[in-house]
Amino acid sequence: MPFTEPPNWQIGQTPSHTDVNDVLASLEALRHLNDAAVRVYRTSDFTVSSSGVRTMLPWTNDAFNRGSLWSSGAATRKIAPLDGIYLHVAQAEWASNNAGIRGIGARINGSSPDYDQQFQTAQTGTPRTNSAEIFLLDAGDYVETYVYQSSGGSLGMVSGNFGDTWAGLRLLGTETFTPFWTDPRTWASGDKLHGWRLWTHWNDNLNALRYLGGQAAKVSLLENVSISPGERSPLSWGAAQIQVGNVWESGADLVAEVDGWYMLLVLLEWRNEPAGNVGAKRGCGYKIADPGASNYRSTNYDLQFQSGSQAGIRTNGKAFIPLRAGERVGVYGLHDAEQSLTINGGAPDRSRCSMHFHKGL
Amino acid sequence: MVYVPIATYTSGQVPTEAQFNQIRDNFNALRYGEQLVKLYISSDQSVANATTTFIDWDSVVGTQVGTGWSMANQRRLYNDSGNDAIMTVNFNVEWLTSAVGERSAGVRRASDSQSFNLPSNGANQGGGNQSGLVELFLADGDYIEAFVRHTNGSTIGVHGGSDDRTHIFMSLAGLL
Repeated sequence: MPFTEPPNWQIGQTPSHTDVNDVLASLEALRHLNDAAVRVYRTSDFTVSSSGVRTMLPWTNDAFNRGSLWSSGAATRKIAPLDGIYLHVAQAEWASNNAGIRGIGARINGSSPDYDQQFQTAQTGTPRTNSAEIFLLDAGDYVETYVYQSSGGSLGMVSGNFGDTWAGLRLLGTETFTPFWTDPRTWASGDKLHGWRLWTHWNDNLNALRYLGGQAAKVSLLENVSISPGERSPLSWGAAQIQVGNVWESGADLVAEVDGWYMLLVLLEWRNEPAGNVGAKRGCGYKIADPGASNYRSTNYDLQFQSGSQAGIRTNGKAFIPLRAGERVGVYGLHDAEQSLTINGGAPDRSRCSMHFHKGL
Repeated sequence: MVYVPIATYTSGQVPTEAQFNQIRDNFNALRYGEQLVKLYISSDQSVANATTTFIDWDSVVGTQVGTGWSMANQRRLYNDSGNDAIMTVNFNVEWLTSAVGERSAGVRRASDSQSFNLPSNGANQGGGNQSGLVELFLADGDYIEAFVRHTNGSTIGVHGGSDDRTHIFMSLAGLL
């Protein structure tokens, strides 16, 4: 049931049964994971032999693979079948070892930059890293999930179950169309059913569903930002890697253009600090401002805290937020070191965040 | 909002008003979500040392659309879509105490007890807050439960009281 690009209708044009079926098939395609989604995992443990390098994970099995994004012949790659915006989600479970750092990230098409996503201080027990980030990909682009450890030697990863170490890639929508959504009308007996307006309306709505509801942005910092201890000041995002609709304007917060549930993904890269100023915590979160208000509401939504006792910390917070049109989301970094700390900016693979429309309210 | 697949049409066939309205409902189901819920705990919940403890959710953020949660089964989030599905789950935990021991959290699928875990925090890991996102297969009627666990040495709690603290979100991502 492939998604069919909806045609433009002209006054007087009459849809055929084939046109009706195209609409139905496209609705089904949207309902079935947008025709492109995979989740891969390993059936056996994996040893990361090198300390201090990023190692691509070879997957052995898929839990689902709609659209054939993965095959065992290219075990590390999840390949985009269509142009679009994709959600990459991954998790790594490590063997017990408390030396160094553990990280997870993504590489596109085998070349730099490396998108470090969650890097945290090692620990005994069963430490886990979990990450989520969206990417704009062309058909044929591939995403590899890598892990990083600095234990000083080889280190094992726990696999065997698909809840241990895994990764997923799913098409969220495409970027290249500016749609609108209008709630479909209710029909009554005797209504004229085949007007071109109906078909235009349906097709616009199909496009709106296909294209992320017309609301998505992935933004990054133009330069490094210094953060005082305990400060929760929203960051000023200066560059967009993805922009659909009006979710963001340069230098401003992310903002909901329409009522909806939005997915917020925050990835902050903390600069290495000299010994003596490491503190105990690196974190991220967000706060909300009412439409037109200059101040934020008092509630702080802290998302992910990690130890600052190792260099190279990256925090990755995830949230689904119900927002009314015009409400703004201010994203902050947070720490409790004795002096100010810095988060890195200046490139798309450093501190960044994204927000996109998930469902209507 | 209920999505009902519609049989394909043949030449000369004209949809009825009811069928047009079902197409409308299907549009709305995709736009507004067939299954979506965000929950939190209205008060702190105690967690005994070294004991896997399930979160008993008791409050809804916004409007609940399906997913089968109710106060009768506070810890369960069901797939009640009528179809096997991929669900997006976002689980955020805020601990009241974090200085000693390891803190872990995750969601467990009932049918096979598979766990999907959040980032874990060890001793002195700074950690009051953990944030995780998973997309998992959930058969029709199956459910997940969110759990936490720690090795602090004595009973500590996860923070509740409002939706900025410990909370969970689940939504239908799509059908296979």
